Amino acid sequence: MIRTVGLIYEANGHGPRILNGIGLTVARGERVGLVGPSGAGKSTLGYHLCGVHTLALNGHSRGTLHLEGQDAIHGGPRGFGGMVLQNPETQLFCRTVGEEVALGLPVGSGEPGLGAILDRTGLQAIREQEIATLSLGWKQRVSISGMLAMAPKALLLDEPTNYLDGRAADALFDLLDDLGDTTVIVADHDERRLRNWADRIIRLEDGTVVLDVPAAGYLPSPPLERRTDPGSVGGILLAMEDLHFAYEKARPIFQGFSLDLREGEAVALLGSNGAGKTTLLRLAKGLLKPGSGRIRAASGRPLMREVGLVFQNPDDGLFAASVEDECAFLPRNLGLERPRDRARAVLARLGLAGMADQVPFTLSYGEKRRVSLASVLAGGARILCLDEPTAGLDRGNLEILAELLKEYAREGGGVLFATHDPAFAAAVATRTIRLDGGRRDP
Amino acid sequence: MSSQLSPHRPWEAGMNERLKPCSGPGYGTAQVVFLATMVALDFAFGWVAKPLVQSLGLGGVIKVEMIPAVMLMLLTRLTLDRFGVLIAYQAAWALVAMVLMPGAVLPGPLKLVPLMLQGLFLDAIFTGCRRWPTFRIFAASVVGGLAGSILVGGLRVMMGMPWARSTQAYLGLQLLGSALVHLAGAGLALVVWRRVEAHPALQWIKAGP
Amino acid sequence: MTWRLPVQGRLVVFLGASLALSVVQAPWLLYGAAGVLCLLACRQRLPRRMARLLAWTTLMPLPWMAVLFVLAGREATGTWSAGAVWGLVRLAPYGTRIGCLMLANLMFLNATPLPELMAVLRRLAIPDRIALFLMTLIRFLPSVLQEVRRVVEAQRCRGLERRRLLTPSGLLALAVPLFLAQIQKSHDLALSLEIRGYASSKQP
Repeated sequence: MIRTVGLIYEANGHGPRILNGIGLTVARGERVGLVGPSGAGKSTLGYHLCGVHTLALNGHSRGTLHLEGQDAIHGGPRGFGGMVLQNPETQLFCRTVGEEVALGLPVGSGEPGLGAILDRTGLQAIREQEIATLSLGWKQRVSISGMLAMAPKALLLDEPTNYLDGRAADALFDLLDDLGDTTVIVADHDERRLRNWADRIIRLEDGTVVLDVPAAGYLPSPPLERRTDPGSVGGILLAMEDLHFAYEKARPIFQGFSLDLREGEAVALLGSNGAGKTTLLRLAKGLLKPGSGRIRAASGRPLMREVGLVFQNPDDGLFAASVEDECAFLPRNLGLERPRDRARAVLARLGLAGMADQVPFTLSYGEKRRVSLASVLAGGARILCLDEPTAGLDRGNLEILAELLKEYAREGGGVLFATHDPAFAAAVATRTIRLDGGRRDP
Repeated sequence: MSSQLSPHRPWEAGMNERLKPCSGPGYGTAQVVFLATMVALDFAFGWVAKPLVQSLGLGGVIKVEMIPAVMLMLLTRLTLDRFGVLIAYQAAWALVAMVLMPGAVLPGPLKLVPLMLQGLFLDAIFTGCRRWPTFRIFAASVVGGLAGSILVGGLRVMMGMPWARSTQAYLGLQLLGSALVHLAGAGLALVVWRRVEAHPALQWIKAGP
Repeated sequence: MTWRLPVQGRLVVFLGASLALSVVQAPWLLYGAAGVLCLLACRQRLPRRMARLLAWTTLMPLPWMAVLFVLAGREATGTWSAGAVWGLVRLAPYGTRIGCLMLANLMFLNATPLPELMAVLRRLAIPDRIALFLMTLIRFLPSVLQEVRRVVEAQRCRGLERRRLLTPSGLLALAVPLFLAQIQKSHDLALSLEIRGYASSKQP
């Protein structure tokens, strides 16, 4: 159904080659997993295979691309491919679930068509519900349904699990298993999950296919090495005592929660979305005040100064003209001496010294994550909180991040991080805490 | 969106239509969406900035909380570099303000007049001075800002404000404040633009249909 | 009665009344209009928050306006006492006009929920682009506000204090991420819509 020969793609028509002569065929109904490091060209290849490259990209494609026997190098046939991006929030347009799904229906389909799609994707019961009230997992499901409504031949999902917890990711792949003869292509870093779901795994590196095998024969990258040494643990850095907190009175998040973070510790917070992980980090930083209970840094300094918090999305903070300026921002705001020297030192420590003069927006996602971390470390906080630091990172960047956090703890800092990735937690954490509606699970 | 494209039909109908960004004159889908989200951002920024200005006691002749609004408007124009963008922007802002901030600028639908005319001045200078990319940002901003203030002042006089030395002095101060705010907004817009103009998604939106 | 009219009728009445209130010169007409509007507002049971907004917009600037008008009167009459009378006599219709325009706006909003207004706009078969523009604006306004708060919070976590949020460096720290967020959102949403054929003549 899909055939490429010598497919080349150059950004802006003259930039570096993102795809470097790709040749492959994909059969109707096949389940394909695209894996590879960040920047390998997975998304770009996915766009071409679904025929949406002329909409999604701004460069120049060459070579052969046939979709159902038709030449598609200059644009795929209308209705052939659908696409679901990482962040469901930016793809959904209508107010209710039913309206959103109906948007993709062919003219004249009417209620039977809409009902069929909603039934197929398990959304019938919530068709009148406002999309804004749904969890990210359900929003992702609505995105998929909206694309399925136009009965595409191929469906691409680009890193769909980045914002989902384990349960939601499982549900997503269960749905993807049940799409009949629609060819489904998923680009993701979760190689194990892809291997269990796909018929075939294609691995890309530097725009070239380096491996194309049946999924059963694919060996995913080994997980990060499980941490065996408990590290040496010192005095208390951060004490949380008997916390009570609720956004709404009727639904408390924490009821008597306590936690001590010590020097040398790396504590992982696990739990599904809505369990309270992010809320706990924000309480630790001092962005939220508990209804009752106490949070204090052992140093006695204000939490806003003592605790560094790295948010999930690095794009929420990056703004400066250079990476070095970005990292000097916090020390400058805190009135610390020689902010640029501090920035350079942190960049060197994180292996980013060579990027000091680059514009932050030109960096890859993994590099932006590291810059975001560096910009917080430059403030000299002894307590580091991270919210979902692994989302969207490839294996190489995960290793770097794991080492950084372990080293930070070894040097006497304390790390508190929220994650959906149990393997990363096992590799880094000296202790894990599972939260369930704000309660600590035994 | 172009009315030249036919209604969506399923693939089985055998349509040979190629999937391309919507063609024809006018704005593409991404550009329309971008324009709308920037107007939304203008409001959102204002909602956050205004109480801050008041709590910090910065209110006065120089409406500091307007600086982000000017900056966002100019960034929109730099991204969608064609005549009419800011007329549309101001019209949209005025219409939404009638719902969300009915007392802003002038009460009721009256605000449409000075805002759209201000957009016209801005667009005209941006388009007319295309050969001087940096100059046009400042010129358009300041001239547009002054034009808007003069028009608002004129409408107030038309509604009964006496044309006397005291009111002339008051309007003069407003003009001075407006010039300073628009100058600052233009400066910031230029700094932001220089940092982001190479961003691939921005280039994609600029390219349009 | 205005609020029993269909939405199109209410819109026409509102726009017509606003135009008339803007241009009418005779003070007694303005006072009469104010009286009628107040009666209608009472019948309509204008919500308290709207009444507060009306009071804020109309009454708050009055002291300043009074000073300006009295100074103008002093200039016109040569004495303070005559000038004060002169000024206040002219301030009354001016303030009434502003108040009436504001009240008419609030009454229209109170009588016409946004979904009704959008439904009318749809039926008017306005061009696709304008429909898309308006729907995107309304749909994303709450989420953009959340984005602004999120970025403000992110930068506060990097030491940017409240009092510096409106300085040039503070504004840059907010504007750049927010601007790029809109760029990315526009890209993603446009892609999602166009793939689903929205680039055709269909409206959502």
